[in-house]
Amino acid sequence: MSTTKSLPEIHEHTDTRTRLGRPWNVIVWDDPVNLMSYVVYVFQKLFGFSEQVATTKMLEVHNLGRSIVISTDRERSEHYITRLHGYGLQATMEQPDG
Amino acid sequence: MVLVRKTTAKSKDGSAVSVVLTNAEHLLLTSLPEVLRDLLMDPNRSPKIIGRLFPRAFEDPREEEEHRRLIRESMLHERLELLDLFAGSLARTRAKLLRREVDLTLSEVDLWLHVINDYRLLLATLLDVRSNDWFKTPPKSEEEAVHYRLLVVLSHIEEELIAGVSAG
Repeated sequence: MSTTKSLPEIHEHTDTRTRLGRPWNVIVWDDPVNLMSYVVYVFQKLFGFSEQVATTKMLEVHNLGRSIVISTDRERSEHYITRLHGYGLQATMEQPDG
Repeated sequence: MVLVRKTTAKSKDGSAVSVVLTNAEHLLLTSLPEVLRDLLMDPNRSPKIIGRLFPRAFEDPREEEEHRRLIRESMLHERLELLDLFAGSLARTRAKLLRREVDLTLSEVDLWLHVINDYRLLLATLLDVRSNDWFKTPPKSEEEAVHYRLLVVLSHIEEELIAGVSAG
């Protein structure tokens, strides 16, 4: 009986560990104010993207409304979000399902 | 019209670009720190603009509240610091006939872009800009017309700065 009682705790522990281990997506959202050239500049500056990659990501934001620019651990994601907001971009972070 | 030229030789102080502004552009840039500082020091006065300058990081309201609790103060102070540095770099401009000239390092260009873009966001929020072709929108008042003109000028300065540091 005691074994049965401990199982939910084990599952909870595993679920927490699994959730903590999953990366976070940093998402940049489209807005009508930020210039395309500015967004490319910010992506290059912040993530070290080449101009080509930064432009591709920018066009994804522009055409699809959003783009996942990077997937990383929570702490790094929060750092990037703070920096993106500092540059005036709209950005959020989320953990993908699954 | 602003001219941004990448310096071909790195000067002793590490300058990377030489920026030439008209007197009117210089006057406009000089006015930015005071307006932004007033706004940041009294966030409750313009919640919509503050909301745009400090957008949400999480969709989950609890995560967002925690994030704001941890980050908001430091982001506010960082922005205020940037304004002081921006004003300091503007104070270095040299008068040349009808223009003002200043040499900026790459970090100072980044700083200028931060401040100029913040003011663009302020103007766009006041104008309630919702579409990419905002520049085609006819203004509803003289005040709006002034805001649109400022937005166009600042957009141009921003583009020139980016082109200047990107040039090979």
